[in-house]
Amino acid sequence: MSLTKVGKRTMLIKRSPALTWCGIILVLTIFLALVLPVNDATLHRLHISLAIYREAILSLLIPIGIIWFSAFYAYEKTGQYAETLRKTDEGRAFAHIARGLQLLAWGLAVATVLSLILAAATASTPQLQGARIIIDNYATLVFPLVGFTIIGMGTRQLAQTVKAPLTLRVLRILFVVLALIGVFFTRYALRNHYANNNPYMLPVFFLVTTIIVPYLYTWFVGVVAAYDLQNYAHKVKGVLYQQALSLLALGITIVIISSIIIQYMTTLMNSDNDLSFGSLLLLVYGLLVVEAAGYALIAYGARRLKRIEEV
Amino acid sequence: MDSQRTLYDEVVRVTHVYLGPAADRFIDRQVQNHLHKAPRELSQSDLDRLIDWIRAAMSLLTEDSEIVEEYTRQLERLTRKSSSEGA
Repeated sequence: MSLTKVGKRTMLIKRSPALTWCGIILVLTIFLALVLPVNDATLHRLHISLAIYREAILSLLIPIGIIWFSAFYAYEKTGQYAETLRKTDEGRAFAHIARGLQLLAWGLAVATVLSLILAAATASTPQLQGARIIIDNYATLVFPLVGFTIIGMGTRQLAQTVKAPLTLRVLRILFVVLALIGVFFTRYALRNHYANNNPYMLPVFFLVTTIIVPYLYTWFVGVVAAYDLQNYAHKVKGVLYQQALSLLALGITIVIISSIIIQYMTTLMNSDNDLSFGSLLLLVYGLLVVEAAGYALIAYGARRLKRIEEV
Repeated sequence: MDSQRTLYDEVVRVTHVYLGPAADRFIDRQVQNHLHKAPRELSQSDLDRLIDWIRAAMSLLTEDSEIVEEYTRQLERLTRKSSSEGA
């Protein structure tokens, strides 16, 4: 390998460590998707052959790769913007938002890699199927749970700088919206639990307390964070600052809302439904594209905000 | 102009309309990097040069020339205001 090539690679790692990590994990994921064994029961359940299964997984990795790159790029840009603000109140708030986005981005990658490895492990040792499902479910839950909580801390700090508290009227509306989301989600999860022979591999008590309630908490925190950020973007002064911030706020709102819908969809995919594998794949594709657009907006907004701090 | 307010405060106040919470940091950078002095030492004689630098910096942030023109007009008003107060 020539010195120029090594130099260029070192430059990329130094300039964008997040994208470098993203590239490494994506290559690892493609490798795992191609070489790891597949559970026969999964193929039977989906009514497809191994070749079609691998094709479907690889075709899903294209939008997944795009969403990972945009998610990693978004948290890196937001972090860089927070760094330019250093020890100001906004700087601390944006540092929280960047850390939350970082957790969401890593969560996407870690959950996928873990899922592939666990799926392969159960193909050779079917007794691990229960453990696999439990670990998969908690891995998918824990990153958004912590990520949204940290983002929420940052957005609350920002809302406080413009004295924008959560009013009683907003809390009432949030309660109604989240109650509706919560009731339907619980209904799906419990119907799934009874109709499909406990697909979560958990007793009802643990399903409710460690899956359903944490998801509802995550969505509540996420929706409040999105509201706080929109409120801050609306109330803060500065035409150019507001334009850039609105992009970032819209991006975070899209990411939060699409994440919630994807989590709903995941529940739907596990339950008895009339949708074919192709329709579900198409729906997931669409949602991934929307989520990637959200992350791209975050990155673009953060870049514009950072530019204001640089000129 | 409020007697308690310095020229620096007035420039930041005008800038706040366009750059919000980033206004004071933006003006600090322009004064320190281009005029090579402490922001609080900004004087009337620096204002024309500062406006030129701000115009250049703003054109990097937006393609909307109306915003840039409106902003620099507001700053130029400060120049006139200060000179009429001086007279």
